[in-house]
Amino acid sequence: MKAAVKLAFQNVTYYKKQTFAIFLGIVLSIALLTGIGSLVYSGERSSLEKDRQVYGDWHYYLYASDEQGKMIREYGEDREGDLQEIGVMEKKSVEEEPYKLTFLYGDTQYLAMLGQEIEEGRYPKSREEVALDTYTITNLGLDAELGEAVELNGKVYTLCGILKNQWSADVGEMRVFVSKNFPGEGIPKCYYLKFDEERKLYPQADRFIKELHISAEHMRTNSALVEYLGGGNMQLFFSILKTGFSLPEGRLTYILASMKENFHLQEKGILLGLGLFCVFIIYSVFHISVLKRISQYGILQTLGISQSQIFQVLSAELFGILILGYPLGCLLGNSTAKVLYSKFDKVFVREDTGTMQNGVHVGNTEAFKVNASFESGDFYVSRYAICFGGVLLVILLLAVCLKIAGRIYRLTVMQMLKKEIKNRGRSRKIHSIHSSRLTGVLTRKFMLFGRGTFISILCSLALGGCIFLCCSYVTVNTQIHNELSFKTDDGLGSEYQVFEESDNLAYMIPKKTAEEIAMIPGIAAAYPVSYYLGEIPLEKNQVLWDKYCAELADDPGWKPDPMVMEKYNGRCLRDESGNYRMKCNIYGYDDGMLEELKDYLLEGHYDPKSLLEDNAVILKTWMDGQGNYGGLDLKPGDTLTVKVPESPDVPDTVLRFLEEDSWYEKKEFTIAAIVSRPMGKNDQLIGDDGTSDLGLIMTNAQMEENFGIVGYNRICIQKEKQASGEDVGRALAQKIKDIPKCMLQDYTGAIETQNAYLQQKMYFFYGISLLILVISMFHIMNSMQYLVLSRRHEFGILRAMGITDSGFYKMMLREGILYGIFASLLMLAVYLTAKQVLLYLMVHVYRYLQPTGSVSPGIIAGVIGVNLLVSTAAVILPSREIVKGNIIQEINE
Amino acid sequence: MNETAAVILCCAVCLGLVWYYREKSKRQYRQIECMLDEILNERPVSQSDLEEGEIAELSHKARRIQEKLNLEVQSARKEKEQVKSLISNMSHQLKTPLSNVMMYQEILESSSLEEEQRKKFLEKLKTQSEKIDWILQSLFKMVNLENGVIRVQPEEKNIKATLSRALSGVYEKAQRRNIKITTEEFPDSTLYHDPRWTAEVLGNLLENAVKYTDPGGRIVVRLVPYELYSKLEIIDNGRGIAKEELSCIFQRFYRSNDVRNLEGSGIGLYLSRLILEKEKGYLTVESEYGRGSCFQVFLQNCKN
Amino acid sequence: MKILEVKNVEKIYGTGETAVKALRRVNFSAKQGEFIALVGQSGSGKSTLLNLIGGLDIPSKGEIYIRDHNVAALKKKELTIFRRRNIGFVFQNYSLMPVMNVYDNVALPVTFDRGRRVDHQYIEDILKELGLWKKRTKYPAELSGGEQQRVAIARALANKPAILLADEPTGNLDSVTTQDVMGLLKASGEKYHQTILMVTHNEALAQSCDRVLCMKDGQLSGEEGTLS
Repeated sequence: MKAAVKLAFQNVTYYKKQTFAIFLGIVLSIALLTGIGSLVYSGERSSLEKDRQVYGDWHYYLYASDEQGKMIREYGEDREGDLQEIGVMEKKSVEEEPYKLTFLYGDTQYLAMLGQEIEEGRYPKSREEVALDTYTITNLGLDAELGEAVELNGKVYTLCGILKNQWSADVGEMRVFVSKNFPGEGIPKCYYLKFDEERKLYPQADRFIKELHISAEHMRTNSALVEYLGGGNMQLFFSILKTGFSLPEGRLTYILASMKENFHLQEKGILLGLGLFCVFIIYSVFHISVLKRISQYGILQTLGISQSQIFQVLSAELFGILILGYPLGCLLGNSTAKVLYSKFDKVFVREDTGTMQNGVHVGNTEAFKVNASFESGDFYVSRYAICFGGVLLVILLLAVCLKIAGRIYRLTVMQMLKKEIKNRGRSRKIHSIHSSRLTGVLTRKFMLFGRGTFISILCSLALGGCIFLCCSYVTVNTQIHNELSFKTDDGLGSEYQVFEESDNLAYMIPKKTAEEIAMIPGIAAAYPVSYYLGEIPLEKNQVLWDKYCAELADDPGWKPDPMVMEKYNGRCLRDESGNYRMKCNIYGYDDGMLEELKDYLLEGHYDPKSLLEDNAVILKTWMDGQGNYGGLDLKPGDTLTVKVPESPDVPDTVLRFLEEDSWYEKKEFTIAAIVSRPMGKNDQLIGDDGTSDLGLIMTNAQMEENFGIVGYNRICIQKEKQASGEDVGRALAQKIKDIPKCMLQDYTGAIETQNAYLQQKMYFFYGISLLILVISMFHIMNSMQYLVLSRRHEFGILRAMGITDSGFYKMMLREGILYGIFASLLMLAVYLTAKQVLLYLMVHVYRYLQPTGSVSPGIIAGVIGVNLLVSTAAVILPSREIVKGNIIQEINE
Repeated sequence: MNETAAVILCCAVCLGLVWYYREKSKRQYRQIECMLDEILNERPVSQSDLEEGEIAELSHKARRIQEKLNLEVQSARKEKEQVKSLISNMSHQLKTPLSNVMMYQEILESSSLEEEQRKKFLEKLKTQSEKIDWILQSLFKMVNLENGVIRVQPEEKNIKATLSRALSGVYEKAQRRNIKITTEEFPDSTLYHDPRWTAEVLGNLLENAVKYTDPGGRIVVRLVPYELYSKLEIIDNGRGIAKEELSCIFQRFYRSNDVRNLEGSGIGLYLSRLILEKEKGYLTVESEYGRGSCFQVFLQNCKN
Repeated sequence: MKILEVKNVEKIYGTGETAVKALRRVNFSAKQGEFIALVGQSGSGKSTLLNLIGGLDIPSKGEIYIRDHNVAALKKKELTIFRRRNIGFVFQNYSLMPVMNVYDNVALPVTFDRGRRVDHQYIEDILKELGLWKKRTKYPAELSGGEQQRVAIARALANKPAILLADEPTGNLDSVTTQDVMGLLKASGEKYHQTILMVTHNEALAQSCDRVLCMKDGQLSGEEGTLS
């Protein structure tokens, strides 16, 4: 072993150039691996911090009696290690009129956990005092001055404190903070728990539940945090596999999606992929370096070295360099990553905040301001990536050494001394009879002489381009998805939204106001949306996903929203005969909005005119967790019946759709098309999360004709680019100020932030894939140089035979271009295959909307161009060395 | 309007191309003509042959043709001189025996000789005339061979027959000098040669061997087949050839100083070489002075 | 007729103190059709001289005239073209293209010239002459050393060069194949009127040449025998 190390050391120091190439390869690869690892990790940490700010710094909450509360507190004291913080919140009373108001008391712990610190004044001490957050103050139309008298629910209170907004505030829920001794309605207290984050959460929670005999159903989870910190366990892993395989279809999808959520599959996948890439690069560079001096090993073999000794020498060499290169690579990678991280801070933070989390929809503009204002937090060096990368590299590189050693040993001594490697199956064709350009034949023969080398060069040439194209493909579709989901989920398609903040169907924005709004200078377009609630009866066999809703699932762990149950008798209903009655949101759009809706088209086709003429509708169908849409057996051309209240102005109970038939009327429609998402969603009644609620969409004229709906529920407004946001906002507020319950939301800032964010993200990913491209380039250059220089002898002969320098360059150029073409073909083939896999992942695991985008031909042409350029450069550079060299020396090599 | 312009442009480009290529082929034609003129007028070809392309390649070939012509003219001139020198050589070679013949004749004419002496001188006269005849014959052969009058016609023939023909010619002489000739056993093979002339070559070599080997010596003849050639070795343990002389012995009329006193014309080896050249074979010699020589005749095996 | 004339050629490798004079004042000339052997011990400069004549290297001083061109003064591209058209090389290590079969190896140098026809009849003649016709589709690795060298000779002849330069053509061969190769060199030299310059250290081989030049310490030390 000692001798091997000594020999390895001598090799390393003697072949300085080769050592440097390996070293550079290692440093670059490690830098890439650990740098990206740290970036991803920091991003995760950052998202976690953001989630903490948005959803609160707690893990679980539960409603508990006072007695249980005491036990919880005792548990907290006993097991300080586990339970670190307990916050208590008590809902005193909930008022529905004139606004939805919740009176609640929260202790300091709770306020801190929910991020609702007191900004001004103090927390109420007496029954007459209240504290409000800015959202409530704005919506109540108060002046936000301490000491101001506030009239709520017929009583007058003194405003003694102003709190910071709660991020996750439900739109419409206004909270009034009161003192501890405020008279309550006896609603149980709510305990917010925070466990020790240094350890995995699930075991701690399990212990807590077991010791206090609490049913797990009562524990509500702050899933954003818990999912990250919980730590998967093997049990979960197997249960995912078990469930996955028991599914009738979509097994892989389910497993992938669940793994992604529970085991950070994405991050691990990235690290694994990068690790393999690095090993490939290091292997290739090292292998070439060994090939360059293979005759040395031949001499060693004549001296009687054994295979295991060769292995020792090789691994001593490689690991010697690795030991030096690894820390340097880590340092380089992490410091570059740190710089990048401070420049592109927002890119690494998960952007899903603000869409759907834990059933709480954050439609609040504030959520986007989080993205805008949120400091991306500290840069974390991912120790995991460093360790994981290290272990992966060590294992794989040992395998590599073993393989190379085996290969060296298999070659006979003579083969090595002569650098001769046989190839089989030669053609017996005489080429010069058919073609007078033998150099072309020569090029082809040289390329195909060593098939292994040829294929490996092609692979590495294609690899960088492939990764780049795949990245671009995903980025393009991410962009499409983000744009589409902004429009539908967050309303970010329009800068302003004016809407009725009420669950009363009778409140509407008058047509006249809508027309006036459209006339406001600086407004490019205003799309009014009318709304109605209806119920669709469906036959037993028309519903294929019979456990899709909580109402149908009959799962004790998954209860339907109690409020929807109470007010609307649930979103779905199955009667005794097995038939269904589904609540649905009915939207009326104008022509412009219908046009935009076409982005979400799944089946069929429509245009505003034909909708109106045929009295047809568009169905917004269900989407499941894997991005499938086949939940209902309804197709364009089918008819369906809709039952609606006879007028918008009916008692609330009518909306349960259980009253006598005289309260309702029924209409029949043909389905013209099916879409995946609605726009201008109404969240006030049965709710609409964009995916799991049914919807019917028609024209505003049809709404009027069929149901007599004349006014609008919501207007989506687009500003002219150059118009001042402030002015438009003010004008809008002026227009709607007299309309009851009408509110205005301003998304301008959020849209800008999001766009900037997306752009940054695009740039970043392009940058990373470029980096990968560069590293593979380095490797290609190295391999090509070896390939060309290994033919020095042959080229020497050609030159002695009288090939001119320009003729020689021409010949090499042809070879380079051929490499480029073959590599590009391979790249395209791999890209097209990978595209299918990525499409599957995007649709089913990441649930992308309409991933119809593809990489622009310009980029593909560019990558092919780069391929050609690189391969020709990689061939021409060493060719120069050949041309400059002495013919005699080359021949005698 | 635009279409018309495009059509006109196209036509113009086509015409331009046609004109260009016409001019180019004209120029090439002129260059070739010029080159041919230069050959005819025996001027050096002026077109460069150091460039890429067709014209340079033609120029190269033209120069080669010119060189070949020159070479032929020169060789004709040289031949003329050779004939001259041949004549002078011949006269020189013939001078000694001829003057001897004349001397003996004079002696014989003065009839004051006894019968015994007369016989002796007649014998000497005969020897000298035979020598003259032999020299003349050799010269005749050589001249004809060089001028291509005698045609060596190599065929695929049995070598054994040729060898025995040559051996029988010297056998008597060898026995007279008490020299043993051994032929090592070899499988009979067909070689590309003209039996008559090859026998001449082998005979020459064997005769030399006999001549320059002291009585009691031995000569070994051996055939070694190679892939393309077969080697006939004639090894003697005679006086050998000095190293300095090795490359001269094949020259016309060369005679080693050591053998001045021995009979010989200095034509045999030169002749052998010429014959072998015509048979696409060749001749080499290895020798050590005082220890013997080994002449090697290479004849081509039958074509594969 | 003089085909080759070497005038006062010197070659110095390296500069300053490390300079090595590989050749000093070499003068000689060769006539068309001559078969000249260049003998001398290793390091005496014979290969250097051959490489200079072949235009693989450029002399430090002096002139080399081949067919009225001063090789030493040609530009790199001209030199390459000149070499292609006038000089055939036979190397000790055969130097064949391993990826091509015999026929293509022989035809290869002809195809370097743009606008030049491959004279297949001629190539067939050479291959038959050298006994390689049956092996024309074989690859060099499938041939014996002697056969490979014959292919190399055929290749050198393919361009109908004026001068054939052979650097130890039989150096890697056993004595049997040496005879074959020598015979072919002589025979083809005579058939195609080529001037052959052969470097060898085998004295016996040198004798069968028309002329023998001796090199010693970078100088021509003497000339043995001149034919006619």
